[in-house]
Amino acid sequence: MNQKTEQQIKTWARNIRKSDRKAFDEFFRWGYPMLVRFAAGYTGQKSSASDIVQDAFVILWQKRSEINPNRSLKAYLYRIVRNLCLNHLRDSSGTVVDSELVQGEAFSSDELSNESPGNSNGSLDQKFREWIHALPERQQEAFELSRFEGLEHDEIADVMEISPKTVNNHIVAALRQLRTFYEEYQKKLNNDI
Amino acid sequence: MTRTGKNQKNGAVPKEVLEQLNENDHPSIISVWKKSEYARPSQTKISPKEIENALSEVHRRIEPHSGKKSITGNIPQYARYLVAAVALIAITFLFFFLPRTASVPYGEMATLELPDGTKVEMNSGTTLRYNRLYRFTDRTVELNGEAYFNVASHGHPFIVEANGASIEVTGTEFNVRSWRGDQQAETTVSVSEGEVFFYPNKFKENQITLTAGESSYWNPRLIEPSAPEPVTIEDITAWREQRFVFRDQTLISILHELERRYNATIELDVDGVEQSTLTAYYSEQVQLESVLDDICTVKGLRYTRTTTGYRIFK
Repeated sequence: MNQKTEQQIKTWARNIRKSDRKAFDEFFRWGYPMLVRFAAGYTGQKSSASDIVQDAFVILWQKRSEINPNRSLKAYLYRIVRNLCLNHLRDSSGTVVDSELVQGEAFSSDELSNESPGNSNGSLDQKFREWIHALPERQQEAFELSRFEGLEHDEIADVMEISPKTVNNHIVAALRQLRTFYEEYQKKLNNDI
Repeated sequence: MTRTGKNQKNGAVPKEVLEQLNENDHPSIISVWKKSEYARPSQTKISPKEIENALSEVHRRIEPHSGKKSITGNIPQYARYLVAAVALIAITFLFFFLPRTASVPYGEMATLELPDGTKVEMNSGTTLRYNRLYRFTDRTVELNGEAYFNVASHGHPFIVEANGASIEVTGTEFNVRSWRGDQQAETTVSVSEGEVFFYPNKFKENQITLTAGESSYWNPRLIEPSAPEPVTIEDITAWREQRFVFRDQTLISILHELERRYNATIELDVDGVEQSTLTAYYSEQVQLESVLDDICTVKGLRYTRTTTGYRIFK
């Protein structure tokens, strides 16, 4: 996250605390797409993900007086969304969507070719997805929040309700594991040739 | 935030990660980090239209008194009834504690009779608020503007709260002028019959007593109301007959009064005359333009019509 966005979020946080609906709307427009994408990573469905994110913004507004302007508003919202997602998965565990199926859906090939500018190797992207998915759950979460959601370590700590030190351990472990997967994959490629 | 990961900070391996690793490990870890850039697990795309639809849905839900849809999901039946019962009680309470408001639009005047028989004549642009249990719990009204009170005798003392000051009476007639928007935020009380107690809400001990034919004012810069002074009550209450009596009144407050009485905008496009004072009497209803004629003659100004009213200039 660059300096400007960080400042902007701080301003939003202060103003939303003061019940400023315009600031709330701006923050919503900025945060909604990435949060839905983030939530869909848990629920596997866009519809439930967008319901959850809307719930999260309603909660944010209702609890606006509790916003701490010195802490990350972004992390606060991610935490609400993550908790709602975990609740959702728990409550709907009887009808849980097959996670393999979700993976297959999310990784459909036409999306890959369209969405990988500057990276010609679409299949490597897919390999990485599989590897990330194979990581222990918490490592995976911490890594994704850092890599794809652009959160700082102390923000991830807020979101996952663990210490920044543990966050770092998870991410380091995740990267080491991904490196192993990648090296094995490279070796296999070379052998095939 | 975008998938292209333009900014450096977002794209780089977090420094805490590197700090925990051996230097030898850095290149391979950085390489893995970079290669994973497009491996985001979920590719969900959201169109601007979807964002706006979601936002209006959220608006609908956070709008007060429209929370219906927010009670959904896996709430057991009895909980819904409980919520409904609590809501009903809350609404009943609100009903009793939400004040009633009476407002007189610009260009009009009105007389209001309160449940205890007290009559309130309200000047243009005035607002009066009182609680629904008025007469049972208390007899307090909140005033912004100007009104003439003819208070009925009753158990509770009758109290007018006006921009930081209070006037307390048992049964009498008096005029209160207290415009929140006026520069001085001044509250002036003039008594025509009986007596009233007048005090700033912050210094209740500085209460003064006003009797018939006396007037006093208070503004937030004073710790106590001004000493009672004799007044001609008919001048003070000239507005009740749609007349005007301006006695050493500042130009700006005269213009505000005209704006309210005639429901017109009057722009003052001249520097330094707002606080200059003016004395004028109009013993019967007059046209706004003849008042403006007089003001401009006395002050050496001119005026012209605008789409919504008048503009005064030099």
